[in-house]
Amino acid sequence: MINLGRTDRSIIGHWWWTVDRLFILTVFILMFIGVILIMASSPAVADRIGFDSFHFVRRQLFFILPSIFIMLSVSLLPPLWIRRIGVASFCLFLILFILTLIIGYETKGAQRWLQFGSFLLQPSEFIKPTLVIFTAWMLSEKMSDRTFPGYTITIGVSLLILTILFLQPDIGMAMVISAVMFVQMFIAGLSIYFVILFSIFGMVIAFFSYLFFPHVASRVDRFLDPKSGDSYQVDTALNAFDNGGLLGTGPGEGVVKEILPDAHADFIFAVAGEEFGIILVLIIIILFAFLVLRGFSKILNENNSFIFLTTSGILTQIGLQAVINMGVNMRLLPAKGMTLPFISYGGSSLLALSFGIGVVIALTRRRANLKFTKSIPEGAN
Amino acid sequence: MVKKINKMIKNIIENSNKDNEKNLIDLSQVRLVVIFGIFSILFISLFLRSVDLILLNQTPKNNFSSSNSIINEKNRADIFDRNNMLLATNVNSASIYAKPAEIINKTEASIKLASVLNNQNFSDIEKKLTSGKSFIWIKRQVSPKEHFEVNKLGIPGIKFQEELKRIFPQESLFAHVIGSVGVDNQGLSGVEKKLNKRLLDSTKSIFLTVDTRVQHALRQELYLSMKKFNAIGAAGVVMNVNSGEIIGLVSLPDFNPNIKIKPSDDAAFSRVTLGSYEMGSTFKPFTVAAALENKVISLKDGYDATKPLKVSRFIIRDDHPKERWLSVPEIFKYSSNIGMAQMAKDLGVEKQKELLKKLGILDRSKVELSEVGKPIIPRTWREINSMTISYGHGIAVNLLQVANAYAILVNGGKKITPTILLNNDNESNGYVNNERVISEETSKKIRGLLRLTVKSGTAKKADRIGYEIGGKTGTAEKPTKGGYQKDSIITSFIGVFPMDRPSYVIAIMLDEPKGIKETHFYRSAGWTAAPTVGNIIERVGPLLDVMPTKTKNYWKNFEATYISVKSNE
Repeated sequence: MINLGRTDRSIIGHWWWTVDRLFILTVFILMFIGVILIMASSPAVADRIGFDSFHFVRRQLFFILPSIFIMLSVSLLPPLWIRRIGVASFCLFLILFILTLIIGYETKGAQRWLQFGSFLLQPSEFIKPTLVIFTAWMLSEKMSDRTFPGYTITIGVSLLILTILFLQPDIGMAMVISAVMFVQMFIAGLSIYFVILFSIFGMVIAFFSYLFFPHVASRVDRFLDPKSGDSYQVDTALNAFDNGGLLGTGPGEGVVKEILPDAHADFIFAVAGEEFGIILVLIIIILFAFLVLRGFSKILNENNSFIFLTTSGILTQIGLQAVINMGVNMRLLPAKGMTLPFISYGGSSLLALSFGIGVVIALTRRRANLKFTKSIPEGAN
Repeated sequence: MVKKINKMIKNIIENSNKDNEKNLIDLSQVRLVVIFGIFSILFISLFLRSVDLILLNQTPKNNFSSSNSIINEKNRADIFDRNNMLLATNVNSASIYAKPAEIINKTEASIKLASVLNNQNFSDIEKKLTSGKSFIWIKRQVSPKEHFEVNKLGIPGIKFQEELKRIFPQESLFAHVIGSVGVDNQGLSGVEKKLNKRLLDSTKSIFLTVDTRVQHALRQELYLSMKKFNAIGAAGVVMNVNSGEIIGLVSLPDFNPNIKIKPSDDAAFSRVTLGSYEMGSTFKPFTVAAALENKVISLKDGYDATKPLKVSRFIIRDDHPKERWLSVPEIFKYSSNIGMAQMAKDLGVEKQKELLKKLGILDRSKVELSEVGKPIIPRTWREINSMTISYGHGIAVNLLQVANAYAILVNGGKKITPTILLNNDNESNGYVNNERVISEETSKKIRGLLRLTVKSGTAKKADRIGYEIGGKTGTAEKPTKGGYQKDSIITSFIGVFPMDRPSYVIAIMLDEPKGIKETHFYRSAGWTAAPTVGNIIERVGPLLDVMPTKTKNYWKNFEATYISVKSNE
């Protein structure tokens, strides 16, 4: 075992004593649960679409080690390097992201992927954490210098990305990014009038989506009144929880995965409920709550605006995705395709999330005296 | 502290006026708390929802697989006969239901379902599926084969619910004893209805007094006679004369309680316990017993039966007229209505009524079955009623009451009540209650008269060598509005065996038998009911531990003691 003394000043030793180890453990547990649940759910999906049974399990395992490596590597970085790497990656992925519209790989009616050999890269997944870093930088500049056009840049870049997402189309992702941007600007001190204005704007968009997009309207209608139409997938997911009960039917014994098309992704939470019962359901909810709330609690007294803006942005993204996914699975929200962070199948998603959580770990390390560059203001003393 | 919070709140609203970065960071920290709070609420909602969904959700379970959810949680107790033969128990079975909203092509689904389900047609299923309801039963409690076939169809929205199904391994054999149970596990008739609460509350098995072997012989012989004489119905009961235990009870036509379709009214009707009939001459022993008991007559006395008897506007005739003076044994064995009417007149209304009451004829039977009819007795009981009742007209009772009354007459005069439950703790039943109805002496005389009737009277065709059978026939026209119909008769025979130590009474009845060539187109009880009982006794005697004997000591003794007037035949 690693045995590191508190006086160890090497990079690893210093990291070990300043990092939130419980936080890292939570992420590992979530990844572990993810692998187990993909093993339980994906063979049914793979068999159905003609892959060999353990196709998805192998691919997920293939991405686990690089993900952990990225998470731990990033967590070693100081805030300045986080910003540099984040912004550089953002520029890179923004280009790839725009390329999806031109040379993207199309599947299930959406053009979100770029093909590299057998690996399909989804740039939008990487856009999420890197965009957060970029806008956090812009907004923190705005906070120290009121003449800096932080909001304008943030809103402009966000609108560019949202436009591309609407073209792909990937409405779920657009919703999450809008929410994250809004939360970041809110925390950065957006005037209360703009907060109200944006909220109203959001509601108007939601209302018009309901009026002009029939599939949005039908999803909301079916949520409000399950009898008004076919709510088969969500009903099936609900039945899964019912079927599982307290202790579940046992690993592999569930049947919901035979019915639901995305049992290894969007509906993996239902598989957890059916095969492992309410025990695992509650454990997953508690783990996500712990991850998000503990992350926030670490930055409540943070004086460095870049740090708390980045951290809150990434935590909002992960937390929101988790809440929406679990909410849809348990029919607390209208149906919306959304993956469950760290648990659902998906290589790009896992890599990007690991990068994001690595950033959070790096920024929430205990710092006694940190050297900040000129552009990252050092609190207010 | 309060000041600080006030300042923070002020900051949220007035931040645009501040350009101090310190104030901005204070504001951010407050807003971080807001986001923290929102996430806390979201996660708590998810937590509560999952608990609500899994632990508190009581909606009926929808199974994809063979889950073990059960609607009929309550297990009915098993029912056995006196020899531990299983008569009613439960098995798990699947019920098929549909959620029409999930069915893609309702017409196709209906065609497929109709092709594998028995007794279900396409249009009925389609009508159900398109009724707009969100939940409908397709078929309850199907067979394993149907379950398998429907499962194999793999129609989305067609689901299974596991339920307990009550089954009766003996099928229709005990239809009028055990009765039937509905799909919702409630007893609908017979013991299942009468003891519904007891069967649901305790899983302790119930043991009945019936004997499956005897029941089978009884049902088969009744069925054969019913077919032979083209009767519309038949009924029979076998009872232990000492304990009142019912060994067999059959009413035909009957129904198969395993088939969850309502039987026809006729099949569901118990001719043993629910139907009240004018029994005719089988009533004669009651009046004779009362007259002997009250010393109104002795066996050596007799009445003039040379011509029909006129009583006000009624004329009483004999079915087998001898047109001479008849002794009491002769009146009994030739079933003379004229003699009986005069005997009833001498006996008097009150004494006749008193004995009938003690024999249980005038009250509703307390047997543990749900279908028990109330006897129909005249509101005013005058001398003329008394005279017609003496030969079984003007009063309607059920067969079980008559069987029970005969049991009392031959068992030495001890009061018994019929029971269907083995080891009944109820003290009013069986031997425990030693109330005497008639004397031992009168009982002996009645036994002799019954034996005489089979030996040389109207019921000769019931005689079976070695069984010392005694009994009395009854032939009655069925009443209609304002009179009797000559064409429809009820024939009955109440047999007791063996006569030297009476053990069992077998009462049977044929509803509207017709004369056939073999009986020279006679259809009276002596030709139809009596031989049936003879056949039954021949079959059930050995089962009931009554072996044929060669000794006729009892009969010799009886003849020497009581019957001084020899028959002329």
